[in-house]
Amino acid sequence: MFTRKALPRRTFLRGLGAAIAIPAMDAMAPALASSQLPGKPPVRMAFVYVPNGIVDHKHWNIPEGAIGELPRILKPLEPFKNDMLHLGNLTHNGGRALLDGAGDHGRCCGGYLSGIHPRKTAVDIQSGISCDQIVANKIGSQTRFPSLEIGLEDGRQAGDCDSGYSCAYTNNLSWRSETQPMPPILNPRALFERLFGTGQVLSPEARARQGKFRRSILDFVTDDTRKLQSDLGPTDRRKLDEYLSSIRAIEKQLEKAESDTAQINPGMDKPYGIPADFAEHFKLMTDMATVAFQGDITRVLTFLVTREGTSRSYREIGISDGHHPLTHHMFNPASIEKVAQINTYHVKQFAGWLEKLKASKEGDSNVLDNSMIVYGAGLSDGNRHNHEDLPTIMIGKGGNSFKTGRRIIYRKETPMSNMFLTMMDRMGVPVENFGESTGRLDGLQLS
Amino acid sequence: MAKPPVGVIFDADLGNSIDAPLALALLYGLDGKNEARVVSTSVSKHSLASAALAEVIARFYAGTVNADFGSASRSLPVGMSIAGKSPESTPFLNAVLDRKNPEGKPVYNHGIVQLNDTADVLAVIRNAFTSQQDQNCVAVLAGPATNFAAVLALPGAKALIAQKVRALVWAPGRLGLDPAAAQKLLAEWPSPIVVVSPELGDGIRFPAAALDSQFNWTETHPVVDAYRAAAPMPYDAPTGALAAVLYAAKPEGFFTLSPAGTFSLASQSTLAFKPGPGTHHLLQLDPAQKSKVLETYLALASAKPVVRQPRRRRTDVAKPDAVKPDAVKPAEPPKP
Repeated sequence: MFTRKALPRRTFLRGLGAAIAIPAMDAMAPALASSQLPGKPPVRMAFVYVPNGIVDHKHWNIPEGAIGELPRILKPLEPFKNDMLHLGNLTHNGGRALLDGAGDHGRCCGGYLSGIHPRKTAVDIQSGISCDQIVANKIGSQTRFPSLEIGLEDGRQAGDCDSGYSCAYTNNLSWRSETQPMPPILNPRALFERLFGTGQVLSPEARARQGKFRRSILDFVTDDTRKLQSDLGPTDRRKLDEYLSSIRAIEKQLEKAESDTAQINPGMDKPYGIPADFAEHFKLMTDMATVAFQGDITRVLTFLVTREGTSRSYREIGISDGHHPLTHHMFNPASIEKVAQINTYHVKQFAGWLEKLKASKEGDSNVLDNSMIVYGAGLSDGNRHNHEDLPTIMIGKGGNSFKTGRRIIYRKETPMSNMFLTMMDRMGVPVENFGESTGRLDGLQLS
Repeated sequence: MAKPPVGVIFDADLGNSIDAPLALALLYGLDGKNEARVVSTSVSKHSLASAALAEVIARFYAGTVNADFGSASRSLPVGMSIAGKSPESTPFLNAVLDRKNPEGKPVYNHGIVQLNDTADVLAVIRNAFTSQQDQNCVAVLAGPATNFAAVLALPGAKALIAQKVRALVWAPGRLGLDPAAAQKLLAEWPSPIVVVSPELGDGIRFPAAALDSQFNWTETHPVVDAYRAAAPMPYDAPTGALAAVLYAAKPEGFFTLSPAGTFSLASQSTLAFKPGPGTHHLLQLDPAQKSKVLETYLALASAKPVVRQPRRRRTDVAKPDAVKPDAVKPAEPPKP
């Protein structure tokens, strides 16, 4: 006799100041359907944006057709090449000057996800609603957060950051409206509290108590966890343990980062709680992004790795020059080599995230299979400042929608907006046209 | 700051009639004299050979196509329709593309081998408009309206055209290939339309003898090769498309316009003009200007390529933008 009641898809473990969404479980499916989730797992979309273009396309591009050996910059993605669509010739015309003169960094990022040409101004900013926000507006009510915006580099939101273009353009990827950017969350603690806090304001005493005893957020949901565990089968119990362990691991990373930065010279340009190490920061933020996707906390993510036009250095890998000046290499082989190293370093961190997503089982598939993760840049070549053939890859099958493992070279000038339209379709938010679109992208589908 | 010479967005069913390659030669001649700018070229034939000829001609004229996108001025690739209209190759396309030198190598190089060597034609035309100053470009159409009519369907395109385009000058050959597009163009195109009648094109013929007298500075000219292969020689070609280009660049001094009115599709392949309210005009030729017009055609179409520096910056080394240095923000104090 089967009497088990299906667990609701949106189940939370609650406690003082904590609300932890749990991932998809077999128990969410009706009895006898233990290997199937209730309906299809949700499809997620994410955009991971790297600044200053890609240095040398010979280290990025591959021949059309089935993906063989990956070039240098993409080498870290070797384990994911069968999950990858490598897209060529996508263009963002709005990033071009179009009579507005210099300012390619401001334009290429400010209009990247909206496919428009941002207004050249440092004051009365105007871009366009980004495709992630169109999706978030439509399906955001199905998750705790309509969207998440994360980043790794602090940046101003006002003032002139590029030849008359506001810092709002270079320092944000997502736009809620044509005048309202969505600043990325940079601080891991802030992201953690956003994801797992209830939003309620703790009394100073409660917060102090939390801090003093360094209690894990999991301690606050112990009762709910026990109750839930008693209702779960062994497979689900193991999955829940793994999930909560991953949250605990994030907490430990956070504590370590906070403890490390507390000892850092206060004059250093690194806010409290943000790991000094780029890779560590990347990992911490994307670990939380993994949990956010696993727990269906959100289905829409934008990740501005560092702000467009950044002059950040990468001493972690022995590069003390700024990223942006290096990209204007004047064909100096040493500079080109350094930018290639930075580009590869970014991809390597990205691969670490993909590994987590792929390891997150979801019924018979995994979170990566049910996602569309676009990794790309708003400039094609950082030296030339061109806006055609933007470096763009998409990882994940979008819920068994895309035939991956291929390089597709589209016709020249094919708008990036065409890709956004296709992705929005897959998110269940079909839009007739968007940005610069001239149609959908052909050839991605399984059949 | 003074505006640059008028930009021309050129679209033709290149390969179907010899006046279109002649018109391109004339356009590049104007560009070489800095009297017009070739902003974009596109073809309404669903044919790689047609797109390849456009690129061959562009390369012949030393790549003077210049969409002037600003910090890194660059050329736009050739747009090609994939609407399936007029896909067949033609003798003059083959003659140009198949011509080999004594070593057996192509005389005319191009980079169009497969579909993705061409550009999304709607994006090319729309992007070309976006790069132009207000009312400083002219759309020139030789042949069916397939591409320009499709551009009209893009969101915001009509407003963009109204803002940027001074006029559409149309030598409407082979309307029967796409009458629906012609109808849409006439009904919805937001700028004035100037139509070159077949009579005007037939009234001034491009003399075959000029190939020997005017183009004798080179033995390899793609337009000359096309001309010789397009029909049994000698023949004098109609010049409707040349009139469209010349009027686009030089609206004064050669032609006049009829009073305003409206063109409509009279049959599947002919237009009818009705004077009255409207923004359409018929291009007219003052008989007294006929020899001057022909001399101009000959001089410009046979002009040698002009090698010159790009109007703005080099394409390979764009000047870095003035990205401001990172803001230094004081660290937050440790939390208690």
